[in-house]
Amino acid sequence: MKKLKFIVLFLFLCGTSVTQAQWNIGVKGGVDRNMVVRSNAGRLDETYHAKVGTDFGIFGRYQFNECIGLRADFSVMSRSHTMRRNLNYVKPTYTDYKNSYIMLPVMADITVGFEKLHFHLMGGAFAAYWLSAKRSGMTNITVDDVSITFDEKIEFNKEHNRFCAGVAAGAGVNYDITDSYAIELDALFYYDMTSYMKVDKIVAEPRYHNTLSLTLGLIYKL
Amino acid sequence: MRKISLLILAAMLVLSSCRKKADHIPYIGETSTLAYQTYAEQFKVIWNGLNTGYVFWDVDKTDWDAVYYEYLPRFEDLDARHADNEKISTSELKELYMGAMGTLIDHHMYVKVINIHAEPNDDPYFTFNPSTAQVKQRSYYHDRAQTTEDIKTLLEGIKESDEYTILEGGTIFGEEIMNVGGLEMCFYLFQLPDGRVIPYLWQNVFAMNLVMKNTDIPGIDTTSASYLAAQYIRKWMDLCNQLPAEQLAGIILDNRCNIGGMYQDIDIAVGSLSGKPFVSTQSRYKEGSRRLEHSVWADEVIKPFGGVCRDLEKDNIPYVVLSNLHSISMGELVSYGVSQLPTGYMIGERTYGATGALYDDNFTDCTYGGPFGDEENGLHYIYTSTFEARTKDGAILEGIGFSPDKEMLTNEVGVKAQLDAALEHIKNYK
Repeated sequence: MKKLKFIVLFLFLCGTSVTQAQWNIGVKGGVDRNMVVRSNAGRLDETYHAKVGTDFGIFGRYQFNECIGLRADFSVMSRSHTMRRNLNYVKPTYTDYKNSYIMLPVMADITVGFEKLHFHLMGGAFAAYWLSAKRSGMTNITVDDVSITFDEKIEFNKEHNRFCAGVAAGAGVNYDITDSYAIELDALFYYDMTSYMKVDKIVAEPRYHNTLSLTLGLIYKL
Repeated sequence: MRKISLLILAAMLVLSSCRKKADHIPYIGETSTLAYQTYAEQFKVIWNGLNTGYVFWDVDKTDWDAVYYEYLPRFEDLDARHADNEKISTSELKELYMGAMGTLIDHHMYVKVINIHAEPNDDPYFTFNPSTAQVKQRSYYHDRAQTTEDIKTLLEGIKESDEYTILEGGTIFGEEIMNVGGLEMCFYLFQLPDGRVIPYLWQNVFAMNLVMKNTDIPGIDTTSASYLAAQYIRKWMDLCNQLPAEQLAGIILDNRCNIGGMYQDIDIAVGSLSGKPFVSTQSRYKEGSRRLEHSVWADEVIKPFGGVCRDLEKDNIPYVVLSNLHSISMGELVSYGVSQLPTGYMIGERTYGATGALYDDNFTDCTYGGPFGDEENGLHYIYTSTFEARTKDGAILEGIGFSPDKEMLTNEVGVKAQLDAALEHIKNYK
């Protein structure tokens, strides 16, 4: 019975929502929180922690009808994390890995809502390209036993997998400011299906990103 | 709502199962206690330890994957033969490991492997250094033991000449030095005809700080070789650091056949004569299990020892270091450090090429690289560098060695001509 009620409500909202088929284009910006999923590969005292970064980009949405659309984004997003060493060092030993990615999600977009307020449910896939990598931090492991801080660019090598892909899903809430403009708050989750380091045949040690992005967008309706 | 949550959970489970699972990578410190029963397992433990912890994969041309594919079946074959009650000799096992690891460029590397199924009348284990065979390929190769003897014979029989007199000094050969087994040394204070002097020091290992510390105790026998060794080191240091510039013609440090030792000695031999802290090399360690995952390059800052610092450049005093093929590890890092001083000059041969420093066995967890296994009680022990070193110019010279400013090959000129060239360089220095 509950399921029936939900379907009726969904159809009602679809029927009363939005206008006609149209293009929406928008710019967006916000923050993201990235976490890596990996084994510690026998390095017992290493722990990996999420880092917050930024996500800026553009997106387009084509509404086939009042409730079904297709959305594609292009954004430059941080996908960073911190590695901490928990050995009993006098000073902390850690590395912040700061990565920039171009993210290209393409998602089906289901819209429900009212005259000015709409809710979006999105699901699809993404491809991404690892643009740049930096690292900064502190280490106590030196030949002359001194602590040093560092901040440098990482040069990519054959072990880095710069192209990655996965699934993307999320939700958004959209408010029409005028007939032509709207604002939209989106939460998108990127779940990588490919490792950001190449996976060896003899000993596999894949590493994956999970990223949650929260952005505010301004939409222009064509 | 509960159903939606379950759906999301189910979706996450499905997706996560699509991700490839990580294989187990053993903790390198644990492998020393592994009681493996097969040759194949033993090989895998050693292969894995080097796969994740070896610091030179960026410059080492060894195809480590190919080693795995080629040699694992051969070790499995040993296991099969052992199961058929066939004897597996330690020499056969050694030959396999020398084949698998013989091209690794770490010139500190020392391998000890127990034959887990050794016959009672066979050697229980074997050892080898991959670098031993590699340096024999060099065109200027000469035997270390023989060259060391040649140097000692030269130093024991050194004669005064028109070129110089010897004011003081002597040799300590074949004596027991407290806590520094095998240390041999020679100190001389040469004097040129113009009255200026040249402190000279030869040692076969670097243990300067250790010897001074060990002998700095109340009641020490002042006639002992240990005490005399400390006196020679102190004299050489004090003369180098304190003698007025007009009396000090130059300094000679003889690192020929010096097989290395304590890193802190670089502050005595180089830092205290550099005027200010300086950097001649940088180093990095493994920061990650992947072969190319390294830490950042960190400056190895050479500092004045005990706050004593003389600026040889300011006083325009030449500092000559003698090196040869068998200047190893600290024996060559110090030589390179001296050669980087403004008045430094290196005479002799390209050095051994063991340029990366090591933490000792108790610090495996610092980098999960460097030496691993247990030399005394384990079934394997691999002594390998913790750090990779490069020069200021970015050259990684592991397995290659540092080149002298003036090349004089032992096989061509002999050990005396090299020393004569050092004295000549100082005498003619402007």
